[in-house]
Amino acid sequence: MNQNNNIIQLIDVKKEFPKIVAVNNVSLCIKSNETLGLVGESGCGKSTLGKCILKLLKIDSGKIIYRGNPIHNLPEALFRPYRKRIQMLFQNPLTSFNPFYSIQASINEFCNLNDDLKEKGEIIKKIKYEMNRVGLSQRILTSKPNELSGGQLQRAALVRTLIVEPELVVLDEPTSSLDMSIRGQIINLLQDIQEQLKVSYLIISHNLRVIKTIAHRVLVMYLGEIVEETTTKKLFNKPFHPYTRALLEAALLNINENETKDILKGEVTQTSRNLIGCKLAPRCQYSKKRCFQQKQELEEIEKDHLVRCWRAKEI
Amino acid sequence: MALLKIEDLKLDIENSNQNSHILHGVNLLINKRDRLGLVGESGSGKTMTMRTVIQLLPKKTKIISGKVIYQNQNLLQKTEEEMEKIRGREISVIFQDATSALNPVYPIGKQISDIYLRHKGRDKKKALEETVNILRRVGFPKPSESVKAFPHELSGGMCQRAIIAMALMCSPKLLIADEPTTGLDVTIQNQVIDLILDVIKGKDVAFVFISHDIGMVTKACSKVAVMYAGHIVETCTAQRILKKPLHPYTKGLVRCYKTIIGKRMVYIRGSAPELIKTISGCPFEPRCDVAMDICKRQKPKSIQVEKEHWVTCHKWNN
Amino acid sequence: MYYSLKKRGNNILRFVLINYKSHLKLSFVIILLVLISILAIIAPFLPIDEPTKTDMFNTNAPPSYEHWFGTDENGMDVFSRTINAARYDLVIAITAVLIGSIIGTILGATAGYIGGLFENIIERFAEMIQGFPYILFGMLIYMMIGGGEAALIIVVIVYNLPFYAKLVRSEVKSLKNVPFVQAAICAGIKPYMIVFRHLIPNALPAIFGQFPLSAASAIRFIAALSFLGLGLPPPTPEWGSMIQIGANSIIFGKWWVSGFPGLALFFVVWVLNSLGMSLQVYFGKES
Repeated sequence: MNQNNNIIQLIDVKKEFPKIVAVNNVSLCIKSNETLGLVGESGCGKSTLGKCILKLLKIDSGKIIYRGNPIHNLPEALFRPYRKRIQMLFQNPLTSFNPFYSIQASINEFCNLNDDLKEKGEIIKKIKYEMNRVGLSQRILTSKPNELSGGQLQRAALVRTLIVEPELVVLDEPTSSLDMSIRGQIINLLQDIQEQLKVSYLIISHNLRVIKTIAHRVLVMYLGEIVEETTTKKLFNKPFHPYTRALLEAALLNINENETKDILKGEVTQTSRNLIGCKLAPRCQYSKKRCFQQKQELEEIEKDHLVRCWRAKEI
Repeated sequence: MALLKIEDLKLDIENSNQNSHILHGVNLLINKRDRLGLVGESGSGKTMTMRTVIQLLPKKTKIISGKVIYQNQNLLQKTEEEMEKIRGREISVIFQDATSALNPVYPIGKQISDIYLRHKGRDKKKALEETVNILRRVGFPKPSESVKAFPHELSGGMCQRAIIAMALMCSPKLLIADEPTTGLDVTIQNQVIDLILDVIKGKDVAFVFISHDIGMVTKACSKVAVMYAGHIVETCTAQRILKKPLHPYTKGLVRCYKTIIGKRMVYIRGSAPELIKTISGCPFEPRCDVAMDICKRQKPKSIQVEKEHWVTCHKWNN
Repeated sequence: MYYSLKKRGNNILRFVLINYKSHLKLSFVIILLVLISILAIIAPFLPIDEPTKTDMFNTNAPPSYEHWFGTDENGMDVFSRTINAARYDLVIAITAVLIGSIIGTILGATAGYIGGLFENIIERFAEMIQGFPYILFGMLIYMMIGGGEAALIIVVIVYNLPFYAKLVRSEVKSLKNVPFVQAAICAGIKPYMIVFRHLIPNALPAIFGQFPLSAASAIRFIAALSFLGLGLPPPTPEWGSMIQIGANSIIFGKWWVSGFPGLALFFVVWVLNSLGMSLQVYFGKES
């Protein structure tokens, strides 16, 4: 991990809610011009993690370091300069706009973060430029959110984000509420923007196809913990952790056609959340006694490939 | 012999004093023991078609024309009382949001037994017995205890199984599942679909699976119908639809589903038409790469290209 | 919601004309309220007796051609008084509820958004005020500054504060997690701007639905306090005090002195309550 190249670093971040540890000692880092994918199903804590980075939620322990500066403890007034650098794209584009105001008004709200945009003329020019970049016509600006389609709204949300010229954008399930036939529009656009602006992404998604396309590295999360961490290529070619394999199988993306079906049985239960050992053990068909009793650590199973499973190589 | 035949169904909805056309002449044929998948994205009208069949339409909808013929009777002409006898008994529906289809104040056992008692007689003991049986069938490990469970005590997957139990309680002839797996974790979706297919295996039940996920539909069904903007654009077998789709929209969908070309995702340009506009000509024309002049002016008719393969596209009009 | 009201030109009449078919009751009640307001406004210009003109030769006279609603013990025309009382009752009630709801909304929204100690303080104050019987409070104010419009307005304002504060606080708490509010936080918008630009506008439907109900309650408060002599001083026409004046005459069969103001009070309160409930249904449907 090149210290100079890191945009953001999370070290042992923990976030608890009553009865649930949503994020359990998660560490990650994202470099400049890189896309990190965060994969997992509902309840694994990935959205919570995204919100912690944006300081929409306060972390309980651990550190968040942005370009070498710790930001997790900063009061809002001191954190404000960072808001320009870290932005978020939300899952449901319709609810990420205030229904009362036009798109123009919602975008203007964000302009106060960008110091270059003090004059009205500058603002108009910038908005026009960004609308062009995402492929939206100027007419959209006067519309209200409920007059536009999901795809249009998500692009408008992108314009709003790009106005401030961020370095890191957290994409929280950016295409989940969009039709499958237009997801590609948004994903390809995001990639184009990354090429042009060298912005980094943290893409949170349960959709493996999207992750495979856009992410350079992937973290797989289960019940608040990272269970596998590696490059995208390695994850899809040679997944080690049983949970990762189950996800790939469910998404019909598994390489190994002869793989035993139904690696996982049952569902997430309250008891499995509180286990000391591997949280997947109750559902995993490969589980042994040791899985339940001993706390599992993230270990490097191959170069640049970490897995939280002691049986990973065998199975 | 056809179990359910939807003939030229046209449906309108009144929204903020404007008339929107939801269904533009839908034709569907479902035979006994069929497993039909109805694929469509937002605004395609797949849910509305199903709701018309069971006559549970929102207030401002108007059926302009068409018939829904179930066992030689037009369901559209039936009274509410007659429909109540049919729903749950002859035709059952599994809705998308499992937890909201269950009443939170009653245990699931009571809700399932109530279906039995409503349609099959007043014997409470028999109802309970059948309830326990069907809970066991859908995978509850301790069914005699589970009858007392409340919906909020169950996980999403278990709730969905309870809904499936409710739907199958009276051995319906037609089971309609509207996005039964959307919202569930990916690793459980397969479990639920496998369960439904397992329970109806060998029984005299026709199954309609409504979804936007073409992959899931082709896995679970033998026949597939594709809907776009209130029209049925293609109908064929599940195997063919992935290998040899004919309609440009279906082709686009299959491409989106199948291919990941390096680092770019495949998509269909443009977006689905807004309901408000009246469409003259083919609804897919604005997004179609192979559109011809006639596509703008005239609505294509449904043509049978091969046995069990119908397309609604001018390209196949020869 | 607000947006759709704007769409209909923010013109209540146009709203009624366009939508009366689908919102029958709401339109009907709006029309009634408009008529009542018009009547109240033009009251002083109507060719009827002055509300305070006494006629000692004609006291307690039953309804007749000259005095449609009869006269009271001072010979004052009940009809004129009933109509004119609408001005006082409605104006005081609506003004007071307006002020009270605005202050309450701001306090509640801030409490809901910021939380912490501030919210606790607001909550405790709200409980204190709501627990205090308003008649007693009316008496206190009367003792301090006497009766009259000011006293009534103060009582009604203080009484509505906690109600709106709580209402808006709970709306805001549920709105806090909505994505567009989170987006605004990510945009570095200052808390007071978030409260005013995002939270309060979205809480408006709840407030609008509540407003007429509060006005109806306020009119009843005013009537009750005036009935006890703690409100508007005689001979100001006000339904509550009119009912009180006529209360003694009822056993003598002189029902009109209390009867007509009573009916008027009942009617206006009914209209306002119906408006409030219909609005709530309307906004419920819209969302």
